[in-house]
Amino acid sequence: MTQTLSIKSKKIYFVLLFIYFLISHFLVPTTKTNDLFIFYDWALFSSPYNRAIDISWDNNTKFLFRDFNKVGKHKINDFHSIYHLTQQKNIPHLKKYTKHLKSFCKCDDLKLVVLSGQEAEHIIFKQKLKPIKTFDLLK
Amino acid sequence: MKSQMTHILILCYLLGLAHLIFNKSYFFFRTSFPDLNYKLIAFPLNYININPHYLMPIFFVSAFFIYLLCLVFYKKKISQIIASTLYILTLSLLYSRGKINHSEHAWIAIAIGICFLNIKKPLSQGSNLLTIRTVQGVLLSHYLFSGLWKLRYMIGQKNINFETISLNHMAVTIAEGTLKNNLITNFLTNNSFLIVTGFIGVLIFQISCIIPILKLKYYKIWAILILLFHFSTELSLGINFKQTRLAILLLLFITPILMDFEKNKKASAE
Repeated sequence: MTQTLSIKSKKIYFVLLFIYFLISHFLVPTTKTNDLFIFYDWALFSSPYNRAIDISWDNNTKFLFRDFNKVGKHKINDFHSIYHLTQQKNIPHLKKYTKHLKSFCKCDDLKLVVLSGQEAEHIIFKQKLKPIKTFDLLK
Repeated sequence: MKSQMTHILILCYLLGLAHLIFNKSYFFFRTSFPDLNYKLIAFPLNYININPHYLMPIFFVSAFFIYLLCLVFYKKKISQIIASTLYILTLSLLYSRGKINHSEHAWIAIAIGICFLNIKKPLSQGSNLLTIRTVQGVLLSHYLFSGLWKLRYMIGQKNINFETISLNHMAVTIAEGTLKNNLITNFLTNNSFLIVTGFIGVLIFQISCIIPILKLKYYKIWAILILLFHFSTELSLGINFKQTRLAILLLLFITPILMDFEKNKKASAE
């Protein structure tokens, strides 16, 4: 492919890429709105979160993303989305899924828990981490 | 005759979008149809006062027929705009409450790009060339920025420990339910040097995507590298980027072939 852009077109090309960069990496992540047709937020998946955050029930004995990730993916609608809403601590959006999560866990308490450790310690090595903060998803 | 390749390219893009829309419709009717309550929070439905129990199936069925019409009348600008809007609307209905699948990003760029392609002009001239280059640039920038965000995360750490960083990345994959094979998970966690090597390799590859963004002649080499990257992540981590691979084939292989073909034809005619 040898066709090259003219100098003017090259300038437009870089300006358009820069605008795209501003929208996807600054505007969308800053506004944190889901009411946009542009859903670019690459910071979400390309770097892990510093704290392990999970959805728990039965007095923090069972964790959705630690213990039920394989089953949950097939049994819960939008498992992928719920994971990222959890990491963002987006409680208002998460609450809209509580009915489905409750029918999955068959439990009376459903909490978003921020744990005192890293993602790998919680998910891979299944260490017992202390909860730092909890948010009740059923209230 | 001179814009024949533009016709073929637009048709290819529209067929790609049609494949995705029909796939999504099938997925919707197969899995979610009996349980529609959660669709209430999908963004466009917040502003339309129609029960989603009726609206969603009606939308998908009508989208199917409208898209067929768009394919028949693909030469009309309005068909291209409607086809793109339908695709973006489908995504917004299915994903706006949570987070879009990353493999759809390239197709949003293609959907927007189609609207700016002029079917009466040759592919390699003026605005058409600029549109194609921009869509290719956007696609490649996904990899570049992904690498830059990883780098930023690493720099933000107090002590840069490659093992912890790569294990944290892998934990995300497991938590999302992507990595299904316990044997691979155990093998990788017990041999963490493999994850560290893979992580550094991915980081270097993703940042290197700045080269084809700046120097357009390297597109083909990076297209092969990206495809290899996706195959390796699918084999090792189960991360499936089918739609992106299709977009790469269209944007970085078929589009350049059509452009070359057009150029050769022009040269032989002269």
